[in-house]
Amino acid sequence: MTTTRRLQLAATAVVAVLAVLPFAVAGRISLGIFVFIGLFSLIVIGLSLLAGHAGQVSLGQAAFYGLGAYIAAITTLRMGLAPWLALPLAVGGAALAAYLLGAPIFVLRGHFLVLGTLGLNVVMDVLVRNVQHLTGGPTGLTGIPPLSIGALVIVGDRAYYYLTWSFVLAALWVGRNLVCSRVGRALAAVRSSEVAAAAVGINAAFYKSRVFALSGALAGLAGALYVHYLSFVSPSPFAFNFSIDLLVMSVLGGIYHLPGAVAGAAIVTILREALRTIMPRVLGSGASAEYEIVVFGLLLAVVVIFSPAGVWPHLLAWLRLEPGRSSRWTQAASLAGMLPESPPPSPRAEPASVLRLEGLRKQFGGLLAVDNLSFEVPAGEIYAIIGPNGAGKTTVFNLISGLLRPTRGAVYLRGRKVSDLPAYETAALGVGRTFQTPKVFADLTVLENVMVGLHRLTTTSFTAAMFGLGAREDAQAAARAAGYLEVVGLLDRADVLAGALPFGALRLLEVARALAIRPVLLLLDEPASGLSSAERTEVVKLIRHIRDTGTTVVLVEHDVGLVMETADRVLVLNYGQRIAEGAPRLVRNDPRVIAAYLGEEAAS
Amino acid sequence: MNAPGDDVLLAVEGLEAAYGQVQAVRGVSLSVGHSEVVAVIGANGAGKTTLLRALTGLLPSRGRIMLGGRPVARPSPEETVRLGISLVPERRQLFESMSVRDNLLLGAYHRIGQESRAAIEEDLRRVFVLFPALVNRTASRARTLSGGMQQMVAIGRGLMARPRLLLMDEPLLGLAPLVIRDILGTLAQVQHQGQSILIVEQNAKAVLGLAARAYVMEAGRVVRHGPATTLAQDPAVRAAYLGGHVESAEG
Amino acid sequence: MTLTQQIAQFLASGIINGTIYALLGLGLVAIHSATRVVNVAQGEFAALGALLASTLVTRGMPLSLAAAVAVGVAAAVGGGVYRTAIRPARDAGPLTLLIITIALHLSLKGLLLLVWGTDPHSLRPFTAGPPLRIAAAVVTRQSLWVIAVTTVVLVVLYVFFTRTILGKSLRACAVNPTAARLMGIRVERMSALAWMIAGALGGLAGVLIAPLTLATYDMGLILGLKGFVGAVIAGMASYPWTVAACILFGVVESLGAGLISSNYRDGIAFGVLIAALLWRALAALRGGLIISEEAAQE
Repeated sequence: MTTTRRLQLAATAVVAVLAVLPFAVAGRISLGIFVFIGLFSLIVIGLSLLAGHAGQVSLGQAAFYGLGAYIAAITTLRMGLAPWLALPLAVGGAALAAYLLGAPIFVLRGHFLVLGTLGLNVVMDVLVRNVQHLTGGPTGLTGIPPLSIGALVIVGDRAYYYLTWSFVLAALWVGRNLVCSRVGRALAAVRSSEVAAAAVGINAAFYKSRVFALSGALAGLAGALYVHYLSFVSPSPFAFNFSIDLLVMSVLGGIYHLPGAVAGAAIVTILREALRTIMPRVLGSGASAEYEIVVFGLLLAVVVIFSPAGVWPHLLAWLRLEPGRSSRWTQAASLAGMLPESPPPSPRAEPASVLRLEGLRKQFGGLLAVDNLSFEVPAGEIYAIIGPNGAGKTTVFNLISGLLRPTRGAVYLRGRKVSDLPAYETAALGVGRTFQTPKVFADLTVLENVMVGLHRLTTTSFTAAMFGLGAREDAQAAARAAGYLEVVGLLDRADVLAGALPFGALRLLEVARALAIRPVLLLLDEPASGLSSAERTEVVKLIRHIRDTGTTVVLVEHDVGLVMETADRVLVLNYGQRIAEGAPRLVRNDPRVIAAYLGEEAAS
Repeated sequence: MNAPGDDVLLAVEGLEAAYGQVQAVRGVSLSVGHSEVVAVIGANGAGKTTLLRALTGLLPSRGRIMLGGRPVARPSPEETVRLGISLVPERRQLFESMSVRDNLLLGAYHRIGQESRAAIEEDLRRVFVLFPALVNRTASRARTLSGGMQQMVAIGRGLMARPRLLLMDEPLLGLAPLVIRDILGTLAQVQHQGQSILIVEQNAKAVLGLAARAYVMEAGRVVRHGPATTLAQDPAVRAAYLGGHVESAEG
Repeated sequence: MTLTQQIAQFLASGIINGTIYALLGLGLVAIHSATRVVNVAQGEFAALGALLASTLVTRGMPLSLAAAVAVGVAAAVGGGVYRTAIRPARDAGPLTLLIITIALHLSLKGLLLLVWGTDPHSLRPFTAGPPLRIAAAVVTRQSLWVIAVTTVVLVVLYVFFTRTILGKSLRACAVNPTAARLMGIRVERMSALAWMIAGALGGLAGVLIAPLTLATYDMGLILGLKGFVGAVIAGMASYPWTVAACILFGVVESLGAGLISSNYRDGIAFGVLIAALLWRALAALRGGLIISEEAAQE
């Protein structure tokens, strides 16, 4: 029996158990605990998507849970809204709050979300306790109506059990779709290298804030279900401590696997119930339930240190259900030759200059890295920048591609000023680049790396991806990506993880990925360094081929020989200043260049 | 080719080291004599940097490393500098936000407490004699210096450790020829003072003029070794490493 | 009390609170720059210092000795925490390290609860006597102790980082750990030292504040977070700016709570935190940098 088949069987078995569970436990255990496991699973699925896939931690999920709960309670109780109308309001309100908090914070990169969400949790708690005329203060609100749709009133443990778990299964489905989509690949790229992701046009903050909004929505949904289920709400379940509990569930289950969220929620909830019955017996009746934080703290530390991926992978291994690495794009890759090569991005009838720099200056503290630099590159040219290390060559590339802001001056792409745009926008306008030290997305396959390069040329939206609507486009993208791999000669390694490639292949993969954005202008940062002489010959051929298919190339290189062989014109930089520019032959004989760069070697 | 027993400062036998999946050192043996300058040349990716990282213990390695006749067991960078091996790393790796003086002083870190303050101050003066350009910049933050001056600080910092053997990783990388000439001149001076140096460099032409002996590395192995003057005349070496960028630029 | 007097009073208490936050913020910056860890458990050092000093004094130990012991124990716990929880996972990603410090926060808080229980503990002021009048504000003697001790600590830290080889090597580890190892600096010892310094600073903050408020096992989180606010505003890197930002934050919080309602005190504090994050985000958007300027210099 194949693993896939066994996984399907296991999933079916789980659903079947969930379906009959209320009847199996009837009269022995209260179904309530299973309702709560379901509610917590909803929140933790969101948190795991956020931590495992967007690489961010929130310590404020309890606040969104509370926000959903209070929106549902206040709109139904105080404003008389029908509960089925209040539900989307609660979900939307929590999602919006998350989005408004997350969108600016993600611009900062780093781990500031932890602080922001923590702050939100405290602010929320203070407000709920103090704005008494709305929230009822510390005592809360009672008499919240149950959910009802027309004449159908949803009451009782069993009804909420089925409702909650249907939502859990739906959330797992949505999460899985998202992870396997264009959006999921973009998130994986961002986790691996935010700079390289920006260089293919991915706006990291855009996707992170949407994932965060989704996690807020799931928490808000759980909150609304909670109040309609209990018909009662008070501030204490939504305090900061519960945010920590949720994080423990998420990490314990395993943040990289969404079903782990359910496992984590179940383990923690059951463990807590057990502790509440056992602890007072062991420590005497005076022992308060607060002692459980010791247990949870140590549990969290042990899991994070010894099994950062949580219990889920161990659970799968124990059940012999580890999925093999899927090579879902292999078939698509075989279509490589069947799609016509993309036409060049634009015909010749374009402005004469593709790239223009005007008085560009970049200062790092006291160091002037680029000093009043101007040059222009016409369409279809191979333009090389040479100069000693520290001459400012890579800084010029970073300025052109939008990774750095100039201190003064401007960069124009086809007449349009781009130096005030963020890097991902510059990339979207057609500036592709490679890096001196290749930055590939190590945990994606070679083919998927190039598919990420196609990000801005594909359109599956976040919402469409959630509902699994991007499959057709993904297949096409895979075929196109395979085409670019063929150009650089890596097609036979399409299914290899990019992290396992040798150095020379990494450079080629970067080129393929940059070509996939269909660049008007391609910036190559030392394309030949670290390559063997055979690989170097291939790169020279490749650079010429790229130019011949309509892309303007600017390259930085230490290998003067390569520059003389390929470039139409050469710019010589020294200490951030241009000391010469022109055809290779002219530059080579320029006395200033000989003095400053080629030195005595050439003079002798 | 190895120098006779008593003269050997560093003897490496069968060194193996891996650096991710990218580069590797496969069974390299080499030696450096007292007061000798030895060069390792080879293309980028030949394993030269990995070799130095393995020698300092930045990377785990297998094989025998003997310094002054005593084995360097399980080296770690913190230990090897105390044993007398100091590395001037690739791309300088200065403490960029700290002053030139503090950078140099930290080079002598392992001597502080072992030796008098005066001895360390004396070495500081020695560095400024070697690199007079640094004298007026002692209080400047390292990151504000030009590439050439940063390299001078890096070499000075390496010397401040008073190593028995100075390892240098691509000290000439990307420097203008005029600066290269200055630095080579200074290194010659350092060698005359009796300093043993193992220098790894792509710029074979420049470094073969300085070194007494050289090893040529390809794909993680030593493929040739001998006196520098012999290697500089070797047609295969000339074609592969002296042809490269320098001569094509001459036209 | 006139409005001027009230405002003077709020300013004074804001500066004093801000000084305490600054001690915590400095510890956070020390840990972050040496080990790239955002330490959520920083406030627990303060809770430990406060509770321990209080118990030792109750058992009859002279206050100065009790304070020294409390600070020393907090420093040792800082070093111990680094050794047991952070170092084994130092190669894991920032996400894992962050979660570990959250776990540390829970575990330490739980241990404090086990030892000291839920009751608040008090500590007598360092010097007895009536409050003093400074300008329009009335200031307790303990508040002056807070400011005086913190000033001394700042001077000591400044001298340590700029004049001593140990301080310089600690900075070197933060700037370039690989190069520091090549110099023979034992980076792990320096990291442990950074955690010890952070522990000591946290413990000291607890000892100083215990006479002003009361010491409880759960006082740490809020204190640590307020130190965070200042450290974040100052960019998690600069020691002097962290102090300035923490004091400014203390003043804003105190004025807000005083003029609006003290029920909203923490709400205002964390509203400021969120505002500070948004403000920095806007600045980052304007700058548009995606790689740090240092990394950009090849």
